[in-house]
Amino acid sequence: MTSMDASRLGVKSERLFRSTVGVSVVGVLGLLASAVQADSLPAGTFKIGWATDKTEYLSFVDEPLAKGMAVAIDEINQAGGIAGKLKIELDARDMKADPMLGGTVVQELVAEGANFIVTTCDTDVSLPGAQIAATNGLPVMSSCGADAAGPSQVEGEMAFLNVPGTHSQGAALAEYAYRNGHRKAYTLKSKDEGYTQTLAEAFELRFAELGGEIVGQSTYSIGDTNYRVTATKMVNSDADMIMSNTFPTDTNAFLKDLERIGNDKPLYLVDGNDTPVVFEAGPQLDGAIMTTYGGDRSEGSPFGEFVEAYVAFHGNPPESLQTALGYDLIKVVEAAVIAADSLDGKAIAEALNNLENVKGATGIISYKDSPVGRGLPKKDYAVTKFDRENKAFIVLETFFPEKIPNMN
Amino acid sequence: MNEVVQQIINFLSIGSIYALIALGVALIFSILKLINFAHGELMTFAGYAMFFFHGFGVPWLLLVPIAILSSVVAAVLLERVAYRLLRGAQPLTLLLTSFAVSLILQSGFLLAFGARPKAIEFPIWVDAFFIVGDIRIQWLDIVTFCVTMLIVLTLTVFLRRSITGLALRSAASDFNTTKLMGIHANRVIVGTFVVAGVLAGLAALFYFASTPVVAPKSGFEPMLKGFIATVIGGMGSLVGAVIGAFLLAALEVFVEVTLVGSLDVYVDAIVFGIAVLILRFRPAGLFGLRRIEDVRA
Amino acid sequence: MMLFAHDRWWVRALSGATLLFLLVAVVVVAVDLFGSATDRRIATTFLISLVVVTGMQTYVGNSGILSFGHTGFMALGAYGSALFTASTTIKQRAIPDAPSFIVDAELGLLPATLIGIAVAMVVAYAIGITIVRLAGAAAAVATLGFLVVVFTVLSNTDQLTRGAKAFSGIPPYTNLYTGLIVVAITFVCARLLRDSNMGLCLRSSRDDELAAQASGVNIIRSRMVMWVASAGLAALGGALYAHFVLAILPKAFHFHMTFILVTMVIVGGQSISGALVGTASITIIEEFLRRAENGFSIGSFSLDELPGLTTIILGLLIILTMILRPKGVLGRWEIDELLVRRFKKRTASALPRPSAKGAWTNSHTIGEGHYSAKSVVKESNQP
Repeated sequence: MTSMDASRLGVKSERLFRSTVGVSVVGVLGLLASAVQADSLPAGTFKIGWATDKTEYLSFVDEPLAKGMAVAIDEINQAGGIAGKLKIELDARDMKADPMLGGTVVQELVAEGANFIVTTCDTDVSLPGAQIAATNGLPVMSSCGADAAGPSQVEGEMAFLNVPGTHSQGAALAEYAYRNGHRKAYTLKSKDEGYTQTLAEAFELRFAELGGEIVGQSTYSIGDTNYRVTATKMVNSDADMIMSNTFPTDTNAFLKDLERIGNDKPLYLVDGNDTPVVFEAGPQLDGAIMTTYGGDRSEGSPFGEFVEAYVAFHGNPPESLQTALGYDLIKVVEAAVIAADSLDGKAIAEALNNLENVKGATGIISYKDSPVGRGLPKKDYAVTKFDRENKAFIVLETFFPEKIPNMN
Repeated sequence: MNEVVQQIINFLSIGSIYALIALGVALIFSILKLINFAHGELMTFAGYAMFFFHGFGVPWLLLVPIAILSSVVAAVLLERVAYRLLRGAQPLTLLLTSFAVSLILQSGFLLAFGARPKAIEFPIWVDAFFIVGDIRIQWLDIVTFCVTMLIVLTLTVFLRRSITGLALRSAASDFNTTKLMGIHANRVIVGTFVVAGVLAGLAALFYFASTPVVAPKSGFEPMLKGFIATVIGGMGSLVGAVIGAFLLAALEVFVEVTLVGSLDVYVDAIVFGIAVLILRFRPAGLFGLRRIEDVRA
Repeated sequence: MMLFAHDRWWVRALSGATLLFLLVAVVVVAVDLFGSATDRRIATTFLISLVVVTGMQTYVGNSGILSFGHTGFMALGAYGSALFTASTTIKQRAIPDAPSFIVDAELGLLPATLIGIAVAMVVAYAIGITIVRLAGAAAAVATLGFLVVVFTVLSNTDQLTRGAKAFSGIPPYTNLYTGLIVVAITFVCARLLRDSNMGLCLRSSRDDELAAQASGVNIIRSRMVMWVASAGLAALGGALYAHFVLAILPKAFHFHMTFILVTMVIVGGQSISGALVGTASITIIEEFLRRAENGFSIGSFSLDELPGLTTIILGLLIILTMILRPKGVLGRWEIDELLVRRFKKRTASALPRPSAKGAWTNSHTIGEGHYSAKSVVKESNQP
């Protein structure tokens, strides 16, 4: 360690002390956080470094996330920046869904003075980068990675998810299904990603715990185009519902094949399907529901306002839920920086850990004492059905699961 | 019982699409000794063409020829721009070139259309079906199967009976001698790519009808399937390719139906394992001729 | 120069390997002294790729048969070494259901790496029984199949690898200097294998299979030896990777990485020097393009980026190589051999060329025989 690093560290611990005092005050004030005068924040820029995937298999989610982030950054910077004086700069660099390159990119972003690190939409692929960020004392958040085990693999309570994670969503889906009278479920999951695996596993655990029975389990690989064999097995089973962990394009292929076989069992889908592309999946959607976020999507609601701002900025309506998640990510970072009242990474991470009731487009977000686990926000799930004619998601219910299964 | 019949229908439908892809791969290989990794991208090309022109409100009756035409154009362009420069090169060189071409095209799609999958809106009549007993039968499956059989038949007759077919077949067995016989080399090769393009376009139609979404890497999976089918069947043998395709489909359906619970995640591994086992005993595939590069102890 | 043309093949091999290693070492030390933390990371990445590409080249270069499967061996090496070096506490949390000889083991880097390599070599031998008999398209499919099998198995043995999820908590042993040591070992092994009797046999079969068979070369046996050895070297590179990245997952060892590695193998040529040239040039081009791409995105956000540009340019580079130099930039030669050729041409241009028609020989201990074998090749190479 050079002497320069050491002296910087000294400054950090001093800031940490100051910010903890700030945080405890902010924590009490909760919602009023944004109203607190962020005195210690210097004017200038707040650099968010994003090791994103622009080219490989995660680019289809990081692309809309980037568009949503752009809306939030524009909104904040138009108003003078965070706390009116700290402009946000987003430095997004391609890591091509490669863990090794991800580490290099984060290293590079750290060297270029990033204040906050965002990684790509998969906590496993971005783990090396997240670890480097944490070692360098920077908080790190996965853009939309949902594997609930993600943050605990990074040292020092520095890692966060942008969504409540797979375990709670699986539980939410199970509770909703059980409440609606389903007792026998057939599940479809993929071991290609934490998301497509652990969500279904959480569903299975919670469903069984409630008294339901898992009568069949099938797996797919992401990118599969043929689900006929699986669909035939499902239709011929005695399940009274099908839970599928797919997201488009897999969902489209799967639902088309279910339709071909003449399936009439109701489908339970996950938030990855919150994109207009899913409406090409055909008539099977009529019997499907999905868990997602953003319970209130009416005009004038935070979600509605986001859509309005999005259209004003990009000229077209949002192409998927990820746009709203990107918007919320920036909003959460803004709130954390104001709460920390400091640019120090550890202080921001601590503020994030104590953040409550941030009004995001997709709901009220709280990281403090999260029932899901440290680093995972609590945010209500919305159960929606699909209105194929208007290509709209109709919210049926908004809730948070009562119990989250204990998984490794 | 119903399930068994349904799975047999599944097998025939999957097999037909694999067969169309494998035929295209095998055709180009038999003439040029080129393993065209970019064959899948020809299908993606047709997929994007359908997406693009549908956006302009072109009716479906026109979209079908447009899709086929677009992959024919793409195939001919590929030949002209990339493969012609390497004519007569080592098979390995050709394989690597097509590998690179495939990656370039994928990135090109990414640049042109973005990473998000694009939905192709197929008309409702694509999903028309009728019911026999308890079983739903899709018209699409019947059309897919019949078209594939028709293509196999036409191609066989065409290769056996017509002069061009004769030229193609002789080019496949000895290209240099064929040229000496006064057959125009370029015409034969371009002709091959045109036919391969038609096959890719047709395969794309049926393929995207069941998965109506196109993304930059859509072509990879079908290409891989066609490729395996061709190798199992025997590189360079058209009949072998078709049989290989149905064999692969049968294998996939069978493995997936019979494997229960936690084992069905290994379907890919098992299918590949069996394919490699076949190669162990017949290095040139089931119907291919043994070639000199395949050494046996 | 005398060493490069020494009578004993292993002296030539070792001095050739030393020359290559010195080239690498100078650059790496320079990066360490003058580069940033990012530069050092990229240099380490380069060393890892270099080990794997050299390993691949040991089979691909010498046999002329393409393999898409070496990334699979790399994965086996990475998991082998990672699982045996990670601390027991981490494993009890992450993989409690793994066999106790794994959970309770906390080995040093060397034994753990050797386990990884051994696993890869045993697997290589088992599938080699089929794969070394194949060439061309069949070999491509079979090795691609092997890659898919490794990926599927690693992604699904949850109790051992955490499945598709990342396995982390791997001790950070890899740095520029451990990387250099591994490169040195790899170069020496690869070069000795290449110049040995076995390697010469294999290369002869690559250049003219019929002639080689007619000369009594046991192609299958030499392919098998090189296949297993090259799997071992790829696994060594995998171990290096695991202790550098510190969190490994099956997806990292799949098509994307295979594409980059195969490009490096192809562009360089069929020799170990070729592996170095290929790895170095692709690493530099990739890094240059990556920085250029990032250059566009700084400043105004709305500026459109060109995702996929790197892949397009790498693809064009492959095609260009295939058209201009189908055997790669360096072709079949090592740098030291080219130096010797140059030197001999200059000094001995007055002397009659060794007449060597039909003088193909397996006897590598005689320098002249080796040299003449090459001149046959050279002549036959120029139509």
